[in-house]
Amino acid sequence: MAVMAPTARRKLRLPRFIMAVPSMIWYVAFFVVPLLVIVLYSFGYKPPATAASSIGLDRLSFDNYTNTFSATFNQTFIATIRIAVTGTLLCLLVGFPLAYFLATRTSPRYRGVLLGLVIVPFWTSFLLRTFAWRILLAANGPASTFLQSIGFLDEPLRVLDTRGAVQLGVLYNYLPLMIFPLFVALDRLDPALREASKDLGAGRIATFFQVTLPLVMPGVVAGLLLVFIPLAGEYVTPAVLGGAKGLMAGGLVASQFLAALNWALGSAMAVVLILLILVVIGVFAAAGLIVRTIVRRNRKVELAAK
Amino acid sequence: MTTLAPLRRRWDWFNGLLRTWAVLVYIFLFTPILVVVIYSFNRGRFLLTWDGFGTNWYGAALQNEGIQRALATSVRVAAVNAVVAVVLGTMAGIALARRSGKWSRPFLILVFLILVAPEIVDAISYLIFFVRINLGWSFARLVIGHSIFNSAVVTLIVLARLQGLDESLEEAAADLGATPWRAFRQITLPLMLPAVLAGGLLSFTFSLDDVIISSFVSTSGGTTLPVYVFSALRTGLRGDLAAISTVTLAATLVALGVMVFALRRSGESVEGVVGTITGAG
Amino acid sequence: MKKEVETIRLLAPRATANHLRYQLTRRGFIRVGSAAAGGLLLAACGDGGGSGGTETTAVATTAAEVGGDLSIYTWAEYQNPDNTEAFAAANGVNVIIDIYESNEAAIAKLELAGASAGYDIVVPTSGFIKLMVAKDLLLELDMARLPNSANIDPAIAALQNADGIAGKYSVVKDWGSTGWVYDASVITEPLATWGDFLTVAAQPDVSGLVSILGAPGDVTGIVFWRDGIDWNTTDPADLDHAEEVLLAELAPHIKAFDSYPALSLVAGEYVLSQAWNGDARVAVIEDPERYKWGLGAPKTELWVDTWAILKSAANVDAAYAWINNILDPAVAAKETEWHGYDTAVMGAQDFLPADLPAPEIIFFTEEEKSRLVAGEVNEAQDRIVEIYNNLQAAAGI
Repeated sequence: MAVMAPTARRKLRLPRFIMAVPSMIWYVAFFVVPLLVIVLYSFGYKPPATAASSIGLDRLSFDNYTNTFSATFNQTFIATIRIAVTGTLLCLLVGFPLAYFLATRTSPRYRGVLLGLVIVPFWTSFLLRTFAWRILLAANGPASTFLQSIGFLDEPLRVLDTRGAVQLGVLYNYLPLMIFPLFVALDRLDPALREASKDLGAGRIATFFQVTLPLVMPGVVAGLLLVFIPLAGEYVTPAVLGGAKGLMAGGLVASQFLAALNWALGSAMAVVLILLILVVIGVFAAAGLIVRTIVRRNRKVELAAK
Repeated sequence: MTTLAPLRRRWDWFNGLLRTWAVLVYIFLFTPILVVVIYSFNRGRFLLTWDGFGTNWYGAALQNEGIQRALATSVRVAAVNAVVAVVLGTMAGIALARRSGKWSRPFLILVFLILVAPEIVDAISYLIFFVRINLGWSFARLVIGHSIFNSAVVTLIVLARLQGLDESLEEAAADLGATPWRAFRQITLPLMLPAVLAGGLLSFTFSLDDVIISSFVSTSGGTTLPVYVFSALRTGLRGDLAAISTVTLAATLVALGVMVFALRRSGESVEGVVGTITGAG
Repeated sequence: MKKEVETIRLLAPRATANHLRYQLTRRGFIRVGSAAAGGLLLAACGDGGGSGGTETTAVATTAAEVGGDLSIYTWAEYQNPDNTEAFAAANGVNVIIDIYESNEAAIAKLELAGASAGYDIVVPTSGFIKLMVAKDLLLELDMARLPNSANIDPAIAALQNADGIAGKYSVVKDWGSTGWVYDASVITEPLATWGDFLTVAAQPDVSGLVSILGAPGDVTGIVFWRDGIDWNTTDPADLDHAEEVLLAELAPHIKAFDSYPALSLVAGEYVLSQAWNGDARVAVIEDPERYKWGLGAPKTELWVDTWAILKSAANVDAAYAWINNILDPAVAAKETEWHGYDTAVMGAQDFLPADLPAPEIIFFTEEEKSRLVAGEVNEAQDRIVEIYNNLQAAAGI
């Protein structure tokens, strides 16, 4: 005997956001408040080394911000953005063909395994796999000996502790983060759309730029953000592989707190770093929108996404 | 949904190019791993210079109190942090997806800010704060420090997954007499499961490998393995750390295999999980 | 009466329905959920099992008067593991060691972490102790608990206590100096002075392969020692001069700021390194024909490292026991064998093996000792750190 009395649609009578409250409390208590403390410190000053505390708050000023933008340090910030942008683009260039291959040229049976293989390197400690590059590329190491023995090099390999090494390390550690969103986006793309485009006479390149690329753009953007944001704040990988040349803004912030005992300046640099990342994202987002509007105007065929 | 047979023959050279590229990328990704594994058998005192083959470092690693303790701490912190992140993040994700309102935008901005803030900034602000509130327990500091970012990640993943699900399924259930809790338990939760699992996995991974926040907030004797490696890095890495890394790699490969097997059995594809990880599934 | 079975009816495409049917059954849920949990658990157990996860040393103790953990914050490669194990076994203490690269870094971490850093012992260079005292970080030592401190060479102890404060809060650990170590297969002419160091650093086959120490005072010191200026100067003109020279003559050639360059030198990463004598010795022992050490000239540093106990130390008893043990001549000799520095413990030299390699890098001649100048930490400290940071930024371009 099944009784199916129509019941009124009932929703819980608690505030709409009740389930998010624990997160809110957690975030406000342990993220927002500490960050506000840092912002406060950024307006302070550094007492002399012989003083009891490393932060003075009785006099507030913008001095630390002026100092951050001084000639000595803005070089590092510029270098940081340069490395982050180059690294992100490199990841895109290297990762896209692989994602395309995985999405369109592999049989579904092996696709999962191949995808899994992309992430397996992440399962070793990232410090160790970064250091592995130091072992590999050391001047007396295996790569160097090999290249010298086949006559490719006359002298030991000198690629470590250069900007090139930094880019290599960055590309290596962030590549999987780019590959995954690209793969997912490419995977959802119906091959029939590409076939249709070719049947209608478009060449391979035209198909790519007018059909494939626009449809996977959300995935591309996700990948770009997923790589750029942590990369801009990163400083460990560049420090391990780049030596003196591996100084990034994050490292500057760290050294102000860990060596220079200048909490005020370090806090200001931290704030500037966050703002810088947001600004760069904003700039590229704006640029992307502009490009998209222009392209849209000129495109002859618009295909609806699935 | 029918697919046309792809016209492969015409694009042979292009296929070949793609395939070569893929192989090269995989070689690139795995070479350092291989180096770590091979050099874990380096007999020499320091990892950097090869000094003959030997398994002595595996024994040394197992006996090294510092490494064992750091490893245990790492795993425990990662597990607890994953639970915290999943609980907080799932609840927040559900709230955002199903109960959105005026509060959603500020909350999402906060989540975004958490994801954008560089780790070094987090690390310093957490440490200063912990000291100020007199929280000296390393374990708690690490869990809090890791779970903030990770719960933000889980929130977005769950949100993306729920937005992809048709709310009408739950409404249909309600129409047919199910209480909201039952509809949630028997419909929403299982459908959300891949996202929750993916989020938990990611939280665990991120915590296990975290260096910057961990090195700042942990206290002596309560450090994680990456922090241990980090300080060893600055002086001279030894084979025991490579040995431990190889062992954990093997262990996680096994765990991964188990998980893939289980997922396959339950009908969920690996891609499905991957898709939810990146929020686009 | 048949039990009422609760059913839920759905309208869905066949494929989805099949998929959902599996997921929605309790069994499916449990299977997936437990597989996931099992996977996690496997990873957790597989990794954390290890040696049983013991928290303390599992060695039978005879008179376990001390016990507990002892956490030492010190420099790298500065502690003979044999001595550590022996002490741990004899006292039932679990010794944990953490490292730093410069005094500034140690003080920074200790201040930043407050009382919660968790360390018991720290190893500062004597000049920095008064900074740490001002920040209320150190415990005033009860010398009655350190009977072996009588073994310390009074001359070195006098140097350690030059400012009158350090002697109350620390005892001498060892002392040493700063110089250079280089690859003689590339640099064929021996270096005699810091001036040579700077000139050779600029040579084409050396430039870009130079490492200097990660300690600010040692870096600005290069200019002062070369130009005959008292390296404890507080004259702003002198400091500006040092900055100019460093930025112009050294910055373009630096490959890394490395406080422990010996290994990388041997690996071929550097060709010329500024180094402390004990660390340089590691490279020289590797290959005495190829790696050469030179003590700084005409003047160079004399630093004295010390043992100090932190005010926030959790295990003060173990700390005192440790320090007292280390000051025993036999134990001190083993320390010297390991890290290559003179421990200033009288009578330790008798316990050193006859075939100790490269003793000339540990024990200096009278002529060499006359070049050494003890360093002070004074009002110039902030400016010195600033110069060092600027140098780092300039070298990073």
